[in-house]
Amino acid sequence: MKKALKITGIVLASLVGVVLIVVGIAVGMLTSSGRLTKMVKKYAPQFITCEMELGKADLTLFKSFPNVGIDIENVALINPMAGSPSDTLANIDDLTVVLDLKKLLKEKEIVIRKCILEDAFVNLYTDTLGNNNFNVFKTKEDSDTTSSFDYLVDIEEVKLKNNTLLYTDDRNQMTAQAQGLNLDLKGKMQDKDIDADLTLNADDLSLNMKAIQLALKAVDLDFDGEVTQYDQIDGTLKLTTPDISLNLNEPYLENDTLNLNLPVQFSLKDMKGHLDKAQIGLNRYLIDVGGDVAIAKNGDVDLDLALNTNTLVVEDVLTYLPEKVQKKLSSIEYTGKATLSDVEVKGTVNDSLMPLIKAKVLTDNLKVNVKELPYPFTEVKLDGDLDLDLNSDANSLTVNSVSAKFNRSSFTADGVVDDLLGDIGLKLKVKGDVPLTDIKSFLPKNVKLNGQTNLDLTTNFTVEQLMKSLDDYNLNRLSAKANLRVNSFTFDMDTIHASAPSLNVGLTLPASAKQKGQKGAYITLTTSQLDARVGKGIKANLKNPDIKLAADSFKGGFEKMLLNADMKFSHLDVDYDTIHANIDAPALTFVTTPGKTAKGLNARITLDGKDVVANMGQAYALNSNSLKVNAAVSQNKAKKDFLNQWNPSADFVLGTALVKVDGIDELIRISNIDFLFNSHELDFKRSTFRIGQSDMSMQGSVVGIKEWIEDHKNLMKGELQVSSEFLDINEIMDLTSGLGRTEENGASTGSATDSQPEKKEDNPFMVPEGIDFNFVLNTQRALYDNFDMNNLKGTMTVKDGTLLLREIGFTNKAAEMQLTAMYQSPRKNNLFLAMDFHLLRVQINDLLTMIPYIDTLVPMLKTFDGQAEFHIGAETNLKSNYEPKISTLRAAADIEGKNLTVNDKFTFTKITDMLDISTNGSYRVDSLDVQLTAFKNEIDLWPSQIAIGKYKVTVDGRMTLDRNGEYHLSVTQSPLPVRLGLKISGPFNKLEYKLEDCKYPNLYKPNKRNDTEQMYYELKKKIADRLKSNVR
Amino acid sequence: MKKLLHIFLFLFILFGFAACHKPTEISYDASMLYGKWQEGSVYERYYESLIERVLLNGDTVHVNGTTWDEADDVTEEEAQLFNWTLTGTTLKHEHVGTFVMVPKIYTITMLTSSHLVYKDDYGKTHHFSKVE
Repeated sequence: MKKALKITGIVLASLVGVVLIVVGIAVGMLTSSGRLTKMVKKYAPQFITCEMELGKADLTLFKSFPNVGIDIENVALINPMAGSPSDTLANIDDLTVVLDLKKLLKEKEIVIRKCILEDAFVNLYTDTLGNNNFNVFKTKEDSDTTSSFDYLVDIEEVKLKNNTLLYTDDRNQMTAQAQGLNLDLKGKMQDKDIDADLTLNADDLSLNMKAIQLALKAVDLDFDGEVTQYDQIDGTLKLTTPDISLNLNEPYLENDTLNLNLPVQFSLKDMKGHLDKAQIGLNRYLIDVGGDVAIAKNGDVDLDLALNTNTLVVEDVLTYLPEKVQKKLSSIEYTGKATLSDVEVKGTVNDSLMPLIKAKVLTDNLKVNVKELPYPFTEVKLDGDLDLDLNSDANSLTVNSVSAKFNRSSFTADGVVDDLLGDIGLKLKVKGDVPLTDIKSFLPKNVKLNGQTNLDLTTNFTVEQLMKSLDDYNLNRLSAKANLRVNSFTFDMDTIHASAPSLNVGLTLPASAKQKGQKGAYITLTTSQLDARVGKGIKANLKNPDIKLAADSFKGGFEKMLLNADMKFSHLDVDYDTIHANIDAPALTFVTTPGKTAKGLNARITLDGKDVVANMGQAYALNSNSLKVNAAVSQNKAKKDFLNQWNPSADFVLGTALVKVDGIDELIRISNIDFLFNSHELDFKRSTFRIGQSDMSMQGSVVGIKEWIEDHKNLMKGELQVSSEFLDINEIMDLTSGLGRTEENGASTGSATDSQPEKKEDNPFMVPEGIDFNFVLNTQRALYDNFDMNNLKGTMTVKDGTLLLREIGFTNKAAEMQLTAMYQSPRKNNLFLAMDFHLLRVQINDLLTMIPYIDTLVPMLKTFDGQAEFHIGAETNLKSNYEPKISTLRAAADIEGKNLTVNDKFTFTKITDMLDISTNGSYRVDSLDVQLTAFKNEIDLWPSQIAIGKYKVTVDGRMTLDRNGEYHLSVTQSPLPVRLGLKISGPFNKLEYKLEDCKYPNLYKPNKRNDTEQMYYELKKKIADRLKSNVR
Repeated sequence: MKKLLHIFLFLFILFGFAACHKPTEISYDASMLYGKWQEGSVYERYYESLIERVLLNGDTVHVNGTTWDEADDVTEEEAQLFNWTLTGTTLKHEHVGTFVMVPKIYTITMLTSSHLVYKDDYGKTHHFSKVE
């Protein structure tokens, strides 16, 4: 302002200088034009120091009436200066100076009343050192004493017509230019008071400073006021321009229309002013302004203004905001109208400070379109108090109330929006009515939500945080609480579907605000009923679920999500394939454990339930008082079958339970089972259960389950230790019959003949294929068929279709025994049974009672009683009804006994009598050593020796399964010289006895054996050795 | 009487020499047995060389004969194994089982390219026809 005043003074002084030139002219005003011109040229150097050119000077009355004026043409002041745009200081086509004629004539005083410059070009220049080109007028002190007149500048009016004014200030890096400048300044100075009336218009006005570029076109300016004591300015300034551009380091106004009506009071001394009911019209907007303005010595401007606006078009108004602010808001489009009222602008303005602004903001039907959001906010009705501190981040909008629509959603809110020019903070309480379809775009693509929601939300986050979170689904930046009541809720993600008639949802962000250490969102869900479905297989119905979960990392779908869920239900029903389970009061936890290399969902699941009822079709049913599961899944989406895709691992702890197996009358009664199941292993850590009469305690593991289920190409292997007090093997075989078999391999295939179709009712035990199970048995007592065993120990192997009892040792009331047995079921009508049975110190009667079939193989055995050693091996194929296929029967037996009692005394007596063997009334056999073989229906007794007292008898023969026989007995050692032979033949119930020659007189005399006897002897040994080779 | 004595002496000498003459031993060529023989629904196959089979208990055995009875719904693939030797007319079968060895001794009474007849000591005779 000082600078402007100074320039004004200099300019006025310059004008005075020019006027002084005219003084000389006035002296000769009564002279002719030529003389007047000479006088002007003569006296001008007394006042002007620079080179000057003057044209013709004439007196004028027309322009100056009633005073006299001097009209000088072509006045040029030339003052070259380095840096100046031109050597010319001023070039005035026509200069008119009006003098007070009365003063001039009476008092010889030159009093200038009026000065008119027409078509002038004025070039004012100040260099970087402060030197200027317009200080060319001599002061009174500078003037020499030869001046003929006193002069006084008492200008009442200055007029500029069509002037061009150029001011260049290199020191302050400023240029100002006025073109087509017309000015009419009327003033009356009395003492130190000036009564001024300024009218100004210009084609172009411009001001260029370092940080300010101002340009106005077709400017009309009018000031009517007064300056009191060179201090107090009081007047009204009016300015209109249809085209104003203002750039303060960035464009603020561009070709805008400006109208000012500023009643102003300003003290030049105090540099303070006051605006009263000022109006600023900017384009279509009217701003009423009032208040105080003060300019400090350091240039600071203090404002205390009050403003009101008419209705603003928001999108238009925003273009007047600082570029920085516009950039901040660039992601948001506003459309609609707003009103600012009760605006207060207070504070200091300088290079670094801006005033504080307060305003009441009202909008109606505003539309706010945030680019990142799928829908705009419409019908935004805001009542807010704006509080702007442009010097800091303390900018806020207090939202007294706001309502808006968002697609089909509607919201109301109140609260505070802060840091308006920075990262806008939203501290709001929001209530809404939201269809969940409206938040579809905020969810991962694979998530679909449906339902109508009543929302109660409290937010405390910034827009930037919100946008980032919506972009990367990282909710940890956000602080918010929400309560939602969702009606007709449905949720779909990948293969997961959930639905509930109504759902209460609580949301806390971040989750750590609710649970220390948790990340993401903390969500509570309560409802009366929730239905869930996973894929096409798993269906669940949850009663009264109470779910609390923390979820984080939503981007990338469910499998990438960090989820920590605790779920409680009053009741849970689950269906998977043919499996149905329901559990009372289950507590479920679900924790995802995503990894960088994960190919799907990784999760840990625990279940703690009571009163579990489960059914697998009609085949199995389970009822347990408790179930605990600790499971993990690691999904590989590239795989299709269940085990490969989910790689489950689960630790099951089952309490007291009953299992019903279809077709078995007996229940499996479980005391407890604790086993670990995964794709590779089934590990029985602890299991105690009872199947019918059998009790079992089992430990061990099964491996290769997944591969076995996949294609049955690999063996599922098991190593299980089974201990038991009592085992009913018959029941267990019924339970496991046919496991793993299909119709194809279970049916009769490769049937050689169609003449013996298997009976439909036959359902033989089919040994599971594709498995390799070893059961290490330790049983106090076991029952198989009628076979009662004690201290049964050994290994039962079920391997790929073969059931093998390997070297089972046990004791029986009849003997100590060792059994190796093998059962195979390649097809139903061609089963295979083989056994290797060793009975040491067996009581023959007990043996026959225990294994009646031995009587069929060795009918002569029942003739004796006592202790014997018995080795038998047998094998046969079986029909589907377990009937032996006689054509396949192969068996061999070795029996050794001593001191045996003969039961069939009649037959014994008859034989000994016929062979002339003296028994002395004793019915005893001292020893026997026999080998028998069975081939098809032929049971051959190989030549064997029986010792009776001093007699030795060799016996051989054959019987057939139709109980016909032919035996030969040869007395090979006798105190008598005669060696008789006896043939016994015919049906067993009608045997014929006939003496004949000895058949094997030298079989037991190595030196006398013939070839046939030698062959028989060797075969007998071979038969016996083969049988005994397996005895342990 | 003397004449009668001479006749008796002649016959004694005649039969005596005849008795001293050792009867010719019949011996069959084992290769005649090679192939598949059938007796009703019963088949026997005699191999020229040993074949390898694995018993159900895992033991590997080498045998040269198999037998099966289709009347019992048993196929050749499911046939039972035996080893055979032929010495003169004595045909010995040693049937090989998982835990047992069951020998059978037969005497061949006829062996041609198409027929095989053998019997055992109890007079049971088997008549086979060659089918392969």
